[in-house]
Amino acid sequence: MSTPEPPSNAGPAVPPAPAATPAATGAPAAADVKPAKPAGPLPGHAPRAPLPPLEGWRGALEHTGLPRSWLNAKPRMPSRNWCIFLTVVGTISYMYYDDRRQCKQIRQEYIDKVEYLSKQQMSGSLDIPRKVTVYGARWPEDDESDRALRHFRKYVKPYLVAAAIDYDQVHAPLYGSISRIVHANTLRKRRQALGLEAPDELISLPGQLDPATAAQRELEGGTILVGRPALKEYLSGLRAGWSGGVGEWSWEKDVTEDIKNDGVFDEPVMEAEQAPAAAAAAADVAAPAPSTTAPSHTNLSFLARPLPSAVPPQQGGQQQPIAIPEHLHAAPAQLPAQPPILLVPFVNHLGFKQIPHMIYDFFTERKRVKAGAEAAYALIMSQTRPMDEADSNFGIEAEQYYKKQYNQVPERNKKAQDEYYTELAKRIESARQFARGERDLTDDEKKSDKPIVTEEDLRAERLKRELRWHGGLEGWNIVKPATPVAWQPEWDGWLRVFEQPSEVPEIDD
Amino acid sequence: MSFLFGGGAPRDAGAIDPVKMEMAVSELDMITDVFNRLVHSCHAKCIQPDPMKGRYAEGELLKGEGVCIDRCTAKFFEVNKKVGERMQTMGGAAQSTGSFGR
Repeated sequence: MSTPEPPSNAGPAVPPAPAATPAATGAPAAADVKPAKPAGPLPGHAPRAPLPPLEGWRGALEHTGLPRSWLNAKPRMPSRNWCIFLTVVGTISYMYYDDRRQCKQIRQEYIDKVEYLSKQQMSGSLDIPRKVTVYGARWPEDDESDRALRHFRKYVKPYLVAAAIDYDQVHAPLYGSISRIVHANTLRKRRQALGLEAPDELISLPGQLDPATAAQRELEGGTILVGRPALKEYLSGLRAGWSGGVGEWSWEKDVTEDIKNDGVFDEPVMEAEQAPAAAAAAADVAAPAPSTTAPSHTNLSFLARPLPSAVPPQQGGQQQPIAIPEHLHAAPAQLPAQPPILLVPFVNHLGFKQIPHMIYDFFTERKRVKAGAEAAYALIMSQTRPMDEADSNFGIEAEQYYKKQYNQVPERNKKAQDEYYTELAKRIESARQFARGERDLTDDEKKSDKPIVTEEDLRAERLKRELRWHGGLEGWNIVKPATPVAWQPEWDGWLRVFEQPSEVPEIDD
Repeated sequence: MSFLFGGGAPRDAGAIDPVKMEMAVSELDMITDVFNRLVHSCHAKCIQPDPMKGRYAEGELLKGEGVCIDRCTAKFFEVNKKVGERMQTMGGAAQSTGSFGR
């Protein structure tokens, strides 16, 4: 305020001439924006009239030294492009934010509803809580096999944890894995009930349940099926287990039998006698079992779970196959009770064409959270109704999202098989030549640390592949949309499914 | 430990192989260590972590805590086993190549 002019009390001080020089140099821009600010008397002009004083709070603030332009500033819309940009970004972020906020609310709401269950006391530290089994089949054409289980863990598990319900996830690496697992389990139980197979050996541990209680516990638990493929595979496994005979069955053995006599490993007749011995000798020489393959003996090996002890009786059964009376093969008229089933809706969008669905799903997470929460709530409250044929339509709309390539699974299998077997014939020949000492190590084999491939290795590898092809095809036949759900009319009233508890409290959003 | 068991009868002390004894002691140490770690981590995870919200509210375990401890223990041993196997392969590789790295 070191102005040469006398200070005026009433109005703002007219800026001095020296102050005007910088303003004049930067003039063109500043001048049209702020016409109110005088730049001092221009040469040849009368001095400008002093600006009218500001009023109200502006007048008061002016004396703090805030520039006049700030005090007079009026809010303005940003430019058109900014408007567009901000609207789009704002809308999308809000949609995302609001969706996740609602998800949190829904989760919290359901967790609060079931939390009291986990706050109950256990009847002793060895008490075993309710336990459910989760099946998630491999989704058609998905590269990852546990997508359904991941859906379970994300949308259903939190409530089970909150309600203190333990869960067991069944890993299904191939199409049809669940069907085979269920089939094998059912058959084992049936055979045990008929006395054809030794019952599971009990480990004497504190808290170990006797079989009857364990069965009762299992019925109180439940089965969770995630998505339509899991339902189809589960029911088909049940059907295979209950309507087939009670002869010993193991999928691996079936496949091994299937491929045993197909002549892939047949040798020319004259070499037939000496080859096995030579191959065995070669195996001894060439595969000095590396330390990694040896069963690792950690100091904690005593903690490892004992393997299921069903092996010795099975072998015994093989040696003396017991003739099973015909009447045992028929399915029992009264099927024993099964744990109730929970159907969890699940659609897995895959592929380029379904990207719009994925985007839509990204912003509507709450729908899946809600569906998962309701499903979990039904399970936790365990109110059931009999399963009927209408339930076989569960998730049928998901079938339209199976990728088109899924129809070509058999062709693709066939092609892969053909390619593999042409390649395999060469490798067998090469392995045999080496075993007979007809050729030396190739350069590649000299360089690598790996043991030389023997015929046994090839057999094992081939069996593994055949298992995958056979299993995949079997599963494809079960899951493909053209196959109906393996529902049997006589099952009416046998299986039960969980339903929403009838006294629905205020859970509508 | 030999001073505990073998102190009174020096002639019998020769019957216990000190090397085996050493191994047994170290194994016991290891098991105790694993057990202590297990208790520590599962306790920290499962028993109501916030003391202000009623830690040890009841004399018995709550159901939620029971399930949590169950799973925690299973997971602990699973990881323990995997790490042990991995260490063993690494140890084997280190012996053959002379370096303990990747």
